[in-house]
Amino acid sequence: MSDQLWLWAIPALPLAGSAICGFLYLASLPRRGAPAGHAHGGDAHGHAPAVAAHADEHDDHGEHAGSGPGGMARLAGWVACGVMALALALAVKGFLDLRALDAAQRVLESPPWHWIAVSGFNVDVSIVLDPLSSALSLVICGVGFLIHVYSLGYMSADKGFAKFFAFLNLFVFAMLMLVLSSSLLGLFIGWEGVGLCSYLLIGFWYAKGWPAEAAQKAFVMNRIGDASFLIGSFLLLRLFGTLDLSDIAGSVAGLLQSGQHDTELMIAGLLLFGGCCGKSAQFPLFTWLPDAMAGPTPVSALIHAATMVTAGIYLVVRLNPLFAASPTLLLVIAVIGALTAFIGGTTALVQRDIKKVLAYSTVSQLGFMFIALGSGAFAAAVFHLITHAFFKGLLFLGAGSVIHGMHEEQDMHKMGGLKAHMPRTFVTFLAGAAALSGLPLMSGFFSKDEILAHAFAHGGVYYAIWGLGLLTAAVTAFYTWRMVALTFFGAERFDAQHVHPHESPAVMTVPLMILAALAVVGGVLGLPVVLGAPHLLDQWLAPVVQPGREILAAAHGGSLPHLSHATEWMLLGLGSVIALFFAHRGFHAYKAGIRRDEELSRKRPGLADFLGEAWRIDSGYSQKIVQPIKLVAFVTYVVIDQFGIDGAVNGSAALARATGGGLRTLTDGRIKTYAIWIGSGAALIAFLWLWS
Amino acid sequence: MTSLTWLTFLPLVGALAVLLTPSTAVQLQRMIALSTTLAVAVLGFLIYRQFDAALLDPQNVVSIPWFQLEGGPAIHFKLGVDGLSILMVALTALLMPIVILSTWGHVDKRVKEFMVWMLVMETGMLGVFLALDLVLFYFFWEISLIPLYFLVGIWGGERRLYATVKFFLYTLAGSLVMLVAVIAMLYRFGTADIGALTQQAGALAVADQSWLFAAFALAFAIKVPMMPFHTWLADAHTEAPTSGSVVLAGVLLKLGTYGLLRFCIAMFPGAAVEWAWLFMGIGAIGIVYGAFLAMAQNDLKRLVACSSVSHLGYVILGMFALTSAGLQGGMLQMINHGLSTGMLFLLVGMIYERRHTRALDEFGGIASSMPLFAVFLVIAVLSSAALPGLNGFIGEYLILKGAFDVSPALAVIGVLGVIFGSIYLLVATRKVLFGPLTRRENRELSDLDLREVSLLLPIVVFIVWIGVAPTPFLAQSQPAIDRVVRRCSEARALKFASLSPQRPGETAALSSQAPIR
Amino acid sequence: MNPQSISTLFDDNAMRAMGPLFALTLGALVLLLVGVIPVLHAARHLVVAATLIAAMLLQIGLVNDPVTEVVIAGTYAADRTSALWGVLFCVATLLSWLFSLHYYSEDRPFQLEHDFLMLITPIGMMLMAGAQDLMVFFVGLEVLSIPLYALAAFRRNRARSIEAGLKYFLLGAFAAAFFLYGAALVYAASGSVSFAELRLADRTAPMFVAGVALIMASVFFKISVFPFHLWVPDVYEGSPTPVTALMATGTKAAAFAFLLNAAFLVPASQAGMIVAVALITMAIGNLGALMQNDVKRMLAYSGIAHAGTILLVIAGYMSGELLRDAALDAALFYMGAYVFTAAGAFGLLAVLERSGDGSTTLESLKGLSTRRPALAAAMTLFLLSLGGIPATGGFLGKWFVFSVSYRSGFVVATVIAALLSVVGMAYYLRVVVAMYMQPQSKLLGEPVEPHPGSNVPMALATAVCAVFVLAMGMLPGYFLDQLR
Repeated sequence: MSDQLWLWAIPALPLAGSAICGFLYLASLPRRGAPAGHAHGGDAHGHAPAVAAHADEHDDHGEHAGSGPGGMARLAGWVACGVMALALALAVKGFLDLRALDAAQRVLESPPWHWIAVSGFNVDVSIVLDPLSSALSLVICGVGFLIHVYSLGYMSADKGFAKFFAFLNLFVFAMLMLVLSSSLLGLFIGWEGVGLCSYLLIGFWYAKGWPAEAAQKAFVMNRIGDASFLIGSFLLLRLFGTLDLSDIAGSVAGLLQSGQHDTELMIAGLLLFGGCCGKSAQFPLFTWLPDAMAGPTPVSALIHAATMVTAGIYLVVRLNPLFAASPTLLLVIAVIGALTAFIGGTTALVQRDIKKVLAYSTVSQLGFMFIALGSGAFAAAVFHLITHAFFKGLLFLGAGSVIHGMHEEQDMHKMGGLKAHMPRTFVTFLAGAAALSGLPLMSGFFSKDEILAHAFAHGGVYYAIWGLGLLTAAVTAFYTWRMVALTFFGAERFDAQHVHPHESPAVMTVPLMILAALAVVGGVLGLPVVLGAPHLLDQWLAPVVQPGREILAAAHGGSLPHLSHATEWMLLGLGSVIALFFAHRGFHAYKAGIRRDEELSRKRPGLADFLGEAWRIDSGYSQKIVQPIKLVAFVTYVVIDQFGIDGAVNGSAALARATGGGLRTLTDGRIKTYAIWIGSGAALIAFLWLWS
Repeated sequence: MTSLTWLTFLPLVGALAVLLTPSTAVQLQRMIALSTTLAVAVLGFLIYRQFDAALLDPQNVVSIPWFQLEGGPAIHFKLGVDGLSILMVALTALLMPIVILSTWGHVDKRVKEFMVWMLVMETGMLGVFLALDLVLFYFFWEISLIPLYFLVGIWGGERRLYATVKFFLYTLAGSLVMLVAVIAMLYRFGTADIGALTQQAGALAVADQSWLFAAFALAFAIKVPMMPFHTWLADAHTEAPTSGSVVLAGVLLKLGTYGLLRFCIAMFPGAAVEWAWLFMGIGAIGIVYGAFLAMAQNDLKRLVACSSVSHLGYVILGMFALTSAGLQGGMLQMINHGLSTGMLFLLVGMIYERRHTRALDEFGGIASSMPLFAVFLVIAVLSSAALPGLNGFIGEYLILKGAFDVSPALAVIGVLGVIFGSIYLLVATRKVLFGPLTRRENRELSDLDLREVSLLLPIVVFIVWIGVAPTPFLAQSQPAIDRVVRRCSEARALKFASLSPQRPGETAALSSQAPIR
Repeated sequence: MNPQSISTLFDDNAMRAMGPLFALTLGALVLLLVGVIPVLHAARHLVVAATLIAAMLLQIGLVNDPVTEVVIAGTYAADRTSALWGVLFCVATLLSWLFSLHYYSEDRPFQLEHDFLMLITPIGMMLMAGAQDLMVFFVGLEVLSIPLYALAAFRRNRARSIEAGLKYFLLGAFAAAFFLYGAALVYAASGSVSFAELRLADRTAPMFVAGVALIMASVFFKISVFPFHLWVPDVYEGSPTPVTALMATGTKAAAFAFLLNAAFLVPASQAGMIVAVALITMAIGNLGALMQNDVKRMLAYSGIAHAGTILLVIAGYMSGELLRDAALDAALFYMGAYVFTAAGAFGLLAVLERSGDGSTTLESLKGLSTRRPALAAAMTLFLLSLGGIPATGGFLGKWFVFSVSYRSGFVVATVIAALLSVVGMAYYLRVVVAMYMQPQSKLLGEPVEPHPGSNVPMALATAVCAVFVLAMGMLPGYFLDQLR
C-alpha cells in the first residue's frame, strides 16, 4: 500500500516542533526587529530555525547559573515534548496497523516525494513502515520522548533551553528520516542530518571551547564515513540502477546468480560499512564518540547511546542481503566489531569520568552489535540495539542525574556514597548496570548471549571472535560495577561544604524508572529458543532479514549454522557465570574506594595511560594524519601556489618589464645611433629582398 | 516589456540616470541603483516564468543586423534565452539587488561612480549570457571586465592595484586568444550566429575542433578560474570590496563555466570528448587543491576565495563527465556556488565592517555576541559543505554521480573534497563563532540589523528551496542539456568507430545513458 | 611623359581632384594676408577653421563622387580611397589645431606662423595619399615634412623642442635621401617612376628591388616601424604636444595611404618579412612603453606599436587580390579610429600641460579623476580605445586588422599580435590607475587653471573625438558603408 500519506506526519511533527522551538528561541532573544524577520524565513523550512537556534546563549555557558529561561522558552519545552508524544502515538498506530496485516505484506508506504529528477536519474523518497523501521521508530520516539521529558528538568536552568529542544526535535526528525525513508539518498538526509544535530548538540556549550572542538571532530570523522557511504551509493547505483532500498535488497540474490558482480557487491558493502564505522563509532573511526560527551547528558543518552550511533546497525540490517552476499565482508565486520568491543571495554576499565566510562562502554556494545551482524545474526543485532537503547539510555540519564545532583561533577573519584543522597537514581542505575553487565535474566543478558551464541555457532575463525566477545563481556561486567561502586558506595569523597548531593526532580526520575523497567524486562522480546518461549523480535523481523538469511543459508549449504540445545545451555551458563563473577570482582574491588586505581597507575603507569588514552589511537591520528595534512596544506599554499604558480605569473610580467627596460637603452637620444640603425635597417631590407 | 533588450540595457539606463545626479545626492544614487536592479529582477522573473524549457530554440529572440566587414559574415545584434542561459540570467537578476543593498554598509566614498560601474557590470553580464551572436558575445565578454577593474581598483583594500591589474590583464590575455578563435570561426563558417555555428562546428574533424576548443577553453579556464590559472582569483577576491567579491563569485566566474558549457562542450563535442579526461582531471585536482589552499588561510575572505577554486573544480569535473547527471549537476552547482559563496562573502563583509579585520585568530565566540550572524554563517557554511537538504548537496551529488559513471577514480578524488571541504569550513566557523569571547571588541559587536537580514534572507530561501525541491530548477535546463549530451554521445560513437579498442570508462559513460529509476 | 599643355593637364577632373589642395593653399595665403592686416587679425582662427572645413567638404564631395581616372598625366588619383584619406587628414589637422589654440604661452605671438605651417601639412599628406608617381609622393613628403620640422622646434626657448626639431629634421632628411636614391634606382631599372608603368615593368630586377627597399625604408621611417622608430620617442616627447598629435595621426596616415598604393612594388614573397617587422615593432613599442613614466613618451611608444599593427594589414594586402578590399577597409577604419583616439589623447595631454605644472608624468596625473572628472573620463575612453577594448573604435579596428592577418594565413602571427596587445593594455592601465585609483600626489602644486574660455576649443575637439571613438565602436556599420 503506498497511499499512507499520514506516514509523512511521523518525521514532519518533530520537524515542525523544531521550527517552532527555533522561532521561540529567536523571539526570546533580547533584540530589535531582526529575529522576527529571520524566524519568518525559518518557519518556511525546518532547517533555518533549527540551525538558526545555533545562534546561542550569550553570557552563561550552561553552568546552571543565573535566571532560567523565560516563558517563551518554557513553552518551547512543552511543544517539543508534545510533538514527541504525538510522533510516538503515530509510531504505535503504525505498529498496530502492521500487526494487523499478515507477515507476508507488512509494509506501509507513503506517496513518494519526487526529490531529484534529471534524465536518467530520479530519486523518489517515500516513508516506508515495515517491521524493522517500525521497531526502530518505536524505540526512537519512545526513548526520545522520555529523554525529552527528562531534559525539561535537566536543562531547566539553561539559557539555551528553547534552542536545545529545537535541536533535539530536529535530531528526532533526522533520525526518523534515516530509518523511514525508502531511498538510500533519503536515508542519507537523515544520516547527515543526525550528524549535523550531533554537531550542534555536542557544541551546545561551545563557549567553553573544547565542546566546539569535540563537535567539529565528530562532524569531520562522520564526514569521512559519509564520503565512503557516498562512493558506495554510486557503486550501488551502477550495480542496481536504483537507490531504492527495497529494490536493492530484493535484487541482490538475482545479481548473485549471475555471479559476475561478486567483487563489486563486496566493495559496495565495504564502502557502506565504512559509513557505518563513522556513524556507529567503530574502529578506526570511533575516537569522536568519547569526546562527544562534551554535550549535555541527555544528548549523550539519546544521540550517542540510544539512537544515532545505531544507524550503522540499521543500515546493515536494512541491506542485509547485500552484506550476506559476501562472507569475507561479514568476517571483516565481525572482526572490526570484536576489536572495537574489546578496545572500548578495556578503555572503560580505567576511566574516572563517569560519562567517559559509559561512552567507551557504548563503543564496546556497538562492537557487540557488529559482531552479531558479522555473524549474520541480524535480528540479534537489532535485539541488542533495542535493549542497549533501554539500559544505556537509562545509565546515561542516571549519570546525568548524578552529575546534576553533584553540581556538574563528573569525576567518580570525587563521588562515592551517593546511594543515600539520591535513592531513586541509585536504584534505577542498578537496574541499568545489571542489564549492561548482562546479569542473568536482565535484557542485556539475553541479547548479548544470543550474539555470542551466533558467533560460536559459525565456528572457524569465529571462535576467536566469540572468545574476544566473551572476554569483553567479562570486562564489561567488571567496569560496570566498578562504576556503580565508585559512584554510589564507599566513603563520600566530595567536600560536603560546597557540594550538597540531592535527588533530581520527578520530571527526571520518572523517565529513569520507566527505562529501568524496560531495561529489566526488555529481554522478553527475544528469549532464547531453549527456553521454549517464542523469539518475538525474531519473528517480527523475519520478513526483513529473510533474504539475507537465505543467501547465508545457501552459502552454508542449505541451512544456517545451528547449535544443539546442550551447547546453548552451556553458553548461557558460561555467560551468566562470567557476568556474575566479574561483576562481583569489580564491585568489591572498588566498594572500598579508589585504592585499586591508584595502585594500577602506580605499579603499571604505562598500562594505565595506554588504556586511559584508548590505546593511544587518537593521539596517533593527530600525529600521523592531522599534522601531516596541515603541513601539506601549508606547503601547497606557500610553495606550490604562491611561489610556484603565482611566481610564474608575476615572473612573466617582470620579464616583460625587464625587456622593456632593456629596450630603453636602444633609444639613447643620439642622432648617430638612430642614423646607423636606419641605414643598417635599409641595407638589411635590401639585402633580404635581393637574397631571396 | 519582457524583451531581452530591455532586460540587458535597463541597468545601463539606470547608470545614465545615476550619472545625471549631483555627486552629493548619495541616497538618491543608491535608490536609483537599487530600484533599477529590482526592476531587472522583476523582468528576469517574468522571463523565467515565460520560459518554456521544452522548446530547444532560443526564446524572446531579438535580432538586428549590426555590421559586416568586407568578405566576412554579417554580424547581428542578437539576444535570446535558452536552457543553457535561463538559470544564469535568473541568478544574475536575483543577486544584483542584494549586492546593491549590501553596499550601504561599506561604500561611502564616490558612491556615484560605484553605482554606475555596478549597473554597467550587470548589463555586461546579462549580455554575455544572452548574446546569440559570437561577436556580440565577445563584445559583452570583454566589456564585463572593465567595471570590476574599477570596483576593485578604487574601492578595494591594501593591495588593490596589484590585484585589479593582475585580474584584468590575466583575463584579457585569455580573451584575446579567444578573439583569434572567434575570427577563425567567423571566416571558417561564414556566420556569427551561435546557433548556426553550434550546428556546423560539430561536423569539423576532431583535430580541427581541438584547436578552436583549446583557444576558447583557455579564455574560459582563466575566467573560471581552473587550476592552475586561479592565482588571480584569491588576490582579486581578497582586495575587492564585499559587493565586488559577491558579484565576482556569484556571476562573473560563471561567465567562464557558462562559456565552457555553451562553447567548448556544446559547440565542439568532438574535442570535448577527446579532452574530457584532461578537464575532469584538472577539475578533480582543483577540488582537493583548492581545499588545501583554503586550509592554509588565516584571512577569512581569502579562505572563501580559495574554497571557490575547490567548488568550481566540482563544476568542471561534472560538466566534462558529459553525462546528463554531470552536466545538470554542474549547471546547478554554478547556481549553488553563486548563492552560498556569495552569501559567505556578504557575511565576511558584514563582520569586516564591524571589526575591520578578517584574520581568523582575531575572532572567537562571536556567536555569543552576534547570534543572528551565527545563524546565517552556519547556514551558508552547511550549504557550501553540501549538507543534504540544502542546495549544495544536490549539485555535488549529481556531479560526483556523473563523474563516477565515467571515471570512478576521479569521482573518489572529488569525494575527498567533501571531507576536506567540511574541515576548512568547520574550522573557520569554529574559530569565528565558538570558543570563549576573549577580546573586548568582539564582545561589543552589534548583531545584524534589518537591512543585513533582509538581504541575506532571499539567499537562504533559495538555498533551502533548491535543496528540498531542485527538480523545477533542473527542469529548466534539462532539454537543452539532453541535446548537449546527445551531441557528445554521437561524437563519442564516432570516435569509437575510428579506434576499435575502447576504454572502460567510456563504455560506462555510454551505459550510464540507460534510463535509471 | 610626353609634353602636354597646362590646359590639357589641368582638365575639369584634375581641377576637381585638386580642389582640396587648392582650397588649402588659398586658405594658407589668406591666412598670411589676414595676419599682416591688423584689422582682420581677429579673423585668423576663422580662416584656419574655414579652410580646413572647406577642404574636408571638398574631399567628402570626392568621396561621394570620386574622380575615376588618374589625373595630371597619371600622377595624382582622387579615387574614393584617397578621398577618404583626405577627409582623415583634414580631421587630423583640424583636431590638432583646435588643441593647439591656447597651448602656447610665450610662443603665442607666433601663433600665426604656427597655424600657417599647420595649414600646409594636409596638402603634403593629400599629395602623398593621392600620389600615383614616386616624384609626386616625394613632393608631398617634403611639403608635409618641412612644416613639421619647424613645428617640432616651435617652442624655441625649450631645449627639448629644439632638439626634437633638429633630430626630426636631420633624420628626416636622411630618410628622404634614401627615398630619392631608391626612386633613382627604380627609375634606372624600369625607366619610369609612374605606378601605372611600374606595374607593367619587371619588378624582379635586382636594381629595382634594391630601389624599392630603399623607398620602403624611408616610408617605414615615417610610419616609425622597427628599426626606423628610434627617433619617435624623443621627437614626440620634445615637440609641442599638438604637433605631436599631428605627427602621430596625420603623418602616419599619409605614409600608410602611400604604402597601400605602393605595396605592389614590394615583392609579394616578402609578405612574411613584413609581418615579422610588424610583430617586432609591436613588441618593441609595447614593451618599451611599459617602462615609461611620462605619459607623452608612453603614447609615443604606443604609436610605434600601433604602426606595427597596421603593418599587418599591409602584409594581408600584399598577400592576395581577394583580401585587397578587406585590407583597405581595415586600414582605413583602424587609422580613422586611431586618428580620433590619438588626437584626443595627445590633445588632452596638451590641456594637462597647460593647466598643470607643464609635466605629463604619471605622477602629475594622480587623482585627476577627482580634480577633472570629465577630462579623466575622456582620457580613459581614449586609452581603452588604444588598448582595443570593445565599444570603442579601437576594438573594431584591431578586430578588422586581426581578421585580415588571419585570413592572409598568418594565424600564429595574429595570436602573437593579440598577446602583445595585452602588454599594451598593461601600460594604458597604469595611466587609468594613476587617474582613478591613486590620490593626488603632494609634490604637485595647485593646478594652474588656464584663463577662462580657453577650454572651449579643447572641449569641442575632445567631444568630437569621444563621440567618434564611441560611434565607431558601437555603430561601425555606418562607417564601413562609407568605405565601399
